[in-house]
Parts: sequence; C-alpha cells; structure tokens
Amino acid sequence: MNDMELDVWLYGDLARFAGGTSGGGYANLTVTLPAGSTLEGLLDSLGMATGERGFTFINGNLSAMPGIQADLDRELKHKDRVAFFHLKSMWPAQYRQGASLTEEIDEALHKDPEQGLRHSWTAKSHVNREQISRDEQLRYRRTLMLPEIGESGQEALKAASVLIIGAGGLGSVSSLYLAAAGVGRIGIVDPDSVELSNLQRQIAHSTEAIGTLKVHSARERIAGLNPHVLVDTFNMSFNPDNSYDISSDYDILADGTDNLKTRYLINDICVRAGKPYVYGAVYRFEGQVGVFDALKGPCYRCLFPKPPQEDDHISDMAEEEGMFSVVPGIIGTIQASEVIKLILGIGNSLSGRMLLCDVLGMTFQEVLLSKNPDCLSCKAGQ
Amino acid sequence: MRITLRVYATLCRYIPGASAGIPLSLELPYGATLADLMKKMGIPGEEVKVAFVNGRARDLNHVLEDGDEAGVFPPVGGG
Repeated sequence: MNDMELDVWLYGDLARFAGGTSGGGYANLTVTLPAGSTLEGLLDSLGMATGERGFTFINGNLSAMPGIQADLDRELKHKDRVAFFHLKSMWPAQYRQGASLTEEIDEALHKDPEQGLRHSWTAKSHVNREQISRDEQLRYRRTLMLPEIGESGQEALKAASVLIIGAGGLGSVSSLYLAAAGVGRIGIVDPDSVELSNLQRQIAHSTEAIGTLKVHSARERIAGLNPHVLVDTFNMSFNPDNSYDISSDYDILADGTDNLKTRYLINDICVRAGKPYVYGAVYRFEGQVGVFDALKGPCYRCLFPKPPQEDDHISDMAEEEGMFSVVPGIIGTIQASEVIKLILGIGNSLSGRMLLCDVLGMTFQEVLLSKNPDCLSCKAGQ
Repeated sequence: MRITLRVYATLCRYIPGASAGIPLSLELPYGATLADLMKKMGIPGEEVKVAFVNGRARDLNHVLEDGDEAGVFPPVGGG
C-alpha cells in the first residue's frame, strides 16, 4: 500500500502533540500515513483524543467543531492540509468570516442544527444580497434620512456584530431594537426557557413560547421583525470556560444578565479584548446604564472592585423582590442606543458616565466616573 | 452644614422611609467626609457602593461642603 503525506497544523496547546517540534503557539509537521487513512487514523498517529480538539479545518473547510466531530471517518488524501485548533483557542479568522464547510459537517448541521454553537450558516447561504439591498433601502428609509447615519452608517450597522448576554428583560429589548435598526449579526446567550412569569417584562417572548428555549424564542421574534439579521444562539450560561470563545467573534458585548458574577466576567472579557461593555442592570423601579470601555475610561471593576459577598442574594432580584415591567424596557432601550452610537461613532457615549434611573420619581442622575489606577482588571488588560 | 443625599437600590434599606433617587436633607459638621456621612446614615463600610458628590464619583475620604448634593449607589444584579 502506498503512503501519503499530510500537512498538519496544530494550534495553541495542541502543539504539544507535534512531538517536540513545537515552536511558539503552533506546530506544523508532515505526517506520513498509509493511503486511505481517515482523520481518526491521523488523530491516533498524533496521540490526540478527538475531544481535545476544537475547530478543525481540512484544506480550509471547517470539518469539526466543539460537539460536532463529523469528520472522523473522512478519508484523507495525499497532501491534504489539516488544521486543529484547541478547544480554548480563539476562533479562527476564517471561521469568523463564515467558513466553508466539508460535506460531513454540513450534513450534520442540517440534520440537527441545534448541535452547534452557531446557527447562521443556513441563513447566510440563502441570502440574496441584491434583493436585500432593495428591501433594506425601504426598511431603513427613516434612518437613511438622518445625515448623522445615512447609507454608510447603515452599512456599518449591517457589518457590525453584537453579543447580548441574557435574553431576559434587558436582552429582550436591546436585541429587538438592535435587530430593527439593522445590526447585521446578533448573538444571544441564555440557558433558560420561557416561563409565564417572565412575560410581564421580557417582551421578546410570547405566551406561545412558554417552555421553549429563550434563545430560540428571541431568534424567532427577531426573524419576524427583521429577516436580514443573522442570529447566533448559545443555549448555555456564559461562564469562564466558554466566555472567551463565545465573545471573541463579536464587536460589542451588551449586558442582559441577571447576576453580578456574569457582569464581572463580561467586564473582564471586554477589558482583555479591548471591547466596549454596554452595561445595564435593573432593580425593582430602578435601573443603571453605562458604557465601560477600558481603552477610553473606567471599567466595571474600577467602580466595584470586588463582587459583594451576598451576590447570590443580589442575583435573581426579579424573583425575590419584584420588577416594574417597563424598567428593563427603558434601560434596554438606552443600551441599544449606546450600542448603535458606538458602532456609528456618533454622539457622546456613556463611557465614563453612569445613568441612574428611578422610574417612581422619574429622575435620571448622571454620575461622572473615573478610571481607578488600582483596578486589577485594567492592569491585567494592559 | 447642610447637604442632600440620594440613595439608590438596596442601600435604601438602611434608611427608614428613604426612596430611591429622592433627596434627603441632612445636617453634618463642617469638615465631614463621605465616610462620615455613610456612618451617620448607618450604611456599613463593607457594603459595596459608589459615592458621588455634585454628579462626580468620589472616594469616601472626600470632604463635603455646605450645599453639596451627595449620593450613593450599589451594584444591582437584575436583568
């Protein structure tokens, strides 16, 4: 039997499987295997368990991703180029741009589109750009009339991506306004299902959606509002293990979470990546909203260096202390406005400022904030 | 000297009758700091919070002046 040579690239921690030829953050080696060997055979020869790898590309086509390893039986050919990324690697650039797929993973994704982290392939492949362009001219007509935005601004919105962490009260409102405004790609992270008691404030969901996943309910609502928006759904909690991978593909992160721990996590991720964190939080009749952009001003930890000890108590306030229906609407709308302004580079952002809103007294208090020179997050992000 | 204080969110629980964002009028001795004000209002030192004076965040050593409009808010968790 003839042998074949494979051009193998190992990124991040996977470079250790190169057997000592690793240099820096990756390794490139030629592996010789019997002709007809499969990708599983290649993994065996490297001594790498299939669960160790994340995104995998064969000749530039995505063949596997975390949770979907449809390529194990794929027969490799002489001179094939195979690239393995570690589970914790930053998402490869070509994936962020919308990777071409191997037949196997394409089939797997279409069989069960909920397997993957991202769900925008189908929508992307069906886009008819010329038709959209005409539709969009009409859809965004009132925006296009604003000289501060105009056609180039609308294009910037379409090219932008925003990750919304939480599809509750805040996320419902910010996601709908961002979709209506034409933000091109919106990611939504939430582990929960819709409950009846959510509906007095979480307006992205409907009575019919009770019992379904919030990310799916929100995606359906957005699709009905503006089918030109690509929606990525992440039915999971945003946690230290997945937050970097999930968020690395987005320009701006918007807060819709219901607990402080996740807010510290969003902040730290944003400081590290140099991305703006559009903050919003609500409590009974009150709300807080601001922009934390550590490149220009303070971050969340500059204000609140350490989480309160009673974080568990502060979490899930809506359940314990009630929530006035419209408060998340007001704060989420301001968040959406800040996101759009950041994308367009217009107006004055809330970076370096916090707005405290009290709906009962209907007061807005602006507080000017400064960077904390001792902030650990800012220091680590430098 | 006389100052006003606005408290927000969970910090209202330390001040009977306080409503978020509604100014309370207080008498303090000249030279009092924000920390003195917190102590007078019974807001514990370990409570995580941001204090501000006349619309600008200040640390707790900030010395207050007659007529100052002070405020204090904690992080809130809801979404």
